Amino acid sequence: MTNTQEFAPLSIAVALPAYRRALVERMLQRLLQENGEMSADWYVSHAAEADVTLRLPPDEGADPSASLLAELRRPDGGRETLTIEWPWRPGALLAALQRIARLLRSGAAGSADARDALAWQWLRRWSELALEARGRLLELRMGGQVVALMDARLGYWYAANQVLPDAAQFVTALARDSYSIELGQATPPPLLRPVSIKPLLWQLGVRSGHYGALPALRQRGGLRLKGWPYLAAGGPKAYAELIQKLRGGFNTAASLRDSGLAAAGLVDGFLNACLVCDFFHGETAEPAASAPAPVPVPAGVFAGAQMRPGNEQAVIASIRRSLHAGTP
Amino acid sequence: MSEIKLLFAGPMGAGKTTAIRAISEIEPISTEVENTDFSESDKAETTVAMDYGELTLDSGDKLRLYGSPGQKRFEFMWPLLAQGALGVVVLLDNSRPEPLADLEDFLSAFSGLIEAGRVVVAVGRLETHPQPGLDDYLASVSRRGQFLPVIGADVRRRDDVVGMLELLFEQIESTASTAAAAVAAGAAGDDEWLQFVQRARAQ
Amino acid sequence: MTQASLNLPEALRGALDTALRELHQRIPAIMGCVVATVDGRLVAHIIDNEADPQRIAAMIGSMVALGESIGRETRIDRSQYVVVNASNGLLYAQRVPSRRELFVVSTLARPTTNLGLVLHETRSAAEEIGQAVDGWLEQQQTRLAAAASTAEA
Repeated sequence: MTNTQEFAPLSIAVALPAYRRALVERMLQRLLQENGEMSADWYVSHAAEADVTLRLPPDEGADPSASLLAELRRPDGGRETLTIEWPWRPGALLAALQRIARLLRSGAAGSADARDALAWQWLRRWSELALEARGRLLELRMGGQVVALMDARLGYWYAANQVLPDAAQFVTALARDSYSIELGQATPPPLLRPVSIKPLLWQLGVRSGHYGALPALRQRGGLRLKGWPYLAAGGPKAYAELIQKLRGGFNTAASLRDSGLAAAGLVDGFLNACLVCDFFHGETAEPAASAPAPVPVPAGVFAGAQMRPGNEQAVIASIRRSLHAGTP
Repeated sequence: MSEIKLLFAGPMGAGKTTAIRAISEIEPISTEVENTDFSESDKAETTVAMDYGELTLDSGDKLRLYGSPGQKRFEFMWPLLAQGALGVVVLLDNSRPEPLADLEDFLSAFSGLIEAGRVVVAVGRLETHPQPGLDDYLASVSRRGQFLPVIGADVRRRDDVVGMLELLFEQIESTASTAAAAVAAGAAGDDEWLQFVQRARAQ
Repeated sequence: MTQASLNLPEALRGALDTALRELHQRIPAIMGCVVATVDGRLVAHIIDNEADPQRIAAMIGSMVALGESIGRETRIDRSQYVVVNASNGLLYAQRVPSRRELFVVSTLARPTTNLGLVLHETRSAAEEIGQAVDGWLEQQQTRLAAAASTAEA
């Protein structure tokens, strides 16, 4: 029973030992109930031949946190296997199902791998031009037409329909139509509302990981995280460990790949995503201590009841220095 | 001279006074009285108005550190103390009966500051009480359509306290730069962005 | 007029309610009086306006403790009472004097009332409550001692 219609619900079968099967089936039922839009996409099937079959990996021992294998039957008859990490977290299972649905539904546009390569190439061009832009916008052309203007510094996307595409749709479109990115005008189009491009960049970054770190990342010295990569929340568990590592000590793309925290593709995907979404501080030199670089601050500049943003930066810099100076 | 202050909030017994002591250069001034509510905590004394500590900055200014009383009946003090604060650290205690309900109380109380990127949540006693996990906290935050960092911390360690302030500052800076950029570009709103974050958080 | 109280032993409860009721009758333009624990839990109250007694109890706890901290900090020594003199009324709060000072009492009155009167009447009510608390504490101790000697025998 394989679905070939584009929008018919996909069947999912659970081929696990009884004690696991009950749990996974219950999780699936609940996910489908709680996520109305998902229930249109999926139904749990007991048929031997489903669109997706969940199995234990062959070397599975007694580890309760082990991953699951999802065997996919593509509409064209091809087979693919995906690993679902941490399937016992409902969020992770949900994310995996969404990913699988996208894969199966857009299967006609070429294999997932080829499209991830496109994501990588696109981001490389983006990150190169971002360095040269100096206030100018980037012009994205597809099929010869300018489809969007992008502000690499502020992370904005201006397009006629004012909607940011989903990464899967986007790479599918990139694969279908040829594209180019060039430097364009400096002023944003007056009638278009800017939309944050970061969600798209993040997804592309994550997908690009199998093709390695972006050149802009390799050229960097140390990597230190800036802000909180919200976009990483809910990703693989290794993201949390990577974030923790990137907050302390000196790290490079290579050292993180070697750290064994996660597969190289996942590490590079995470780093690429952080890079293009501007989650890294500027260059960090090798011997840099954990204390952030001091910013000179004139004494006693905080007059007035309301703190101004500029002053606030100086205040924060001063608190940082004072806290670190006070380290016993 | 304007006031530079940080607020440590959180339920009774989460370590607000301890966190202030970790970085204050004076012995914290407290308004502790006898605790008569042993259903809330078995501590002998509890803060009812505020804790107060100070740190002299190299600019000559004083950083004022406030701790708010934890019990929900004192929630009238929370906005008073948060007024004009650079940011708020919400300390939670995973060994309490319902830490996620505590989280809800503080998320409601500080929702304005959360939107401004001025709140971080630090969860204590995760080693001895691993449930709920940080994922559960993040899920609660995202269900409210809010987002803020949630980390594990042990306030008895000064490094942890400094670490959570560092996280708060990074958060303030990155929000400020995003806001400035939005003003510069005349952005009307970022709904897609918020929705995406919510979806990402839901995973 | 509403009246509600927290769980207390019957004898103490009665003494407390009586003291509060008498205080309420003695002050002409009174709007309410509240007894709370020092950590802000409502014990007993009579409130004539819309104010939420639970909230007042918590606020009085904070205010009295803050007054005591300020007293220590500014070296003017032990705070005896705190007054809020507002344009439409006044609020007076002090600890209940007893061997263990676990309670605070507070009076809310209209501005037509004389502050001296509020102060005097509330203080005597506080003393009555204090005696009731001490009596109860003594009883408790006697009972504990008796229980201990029975256990030994």
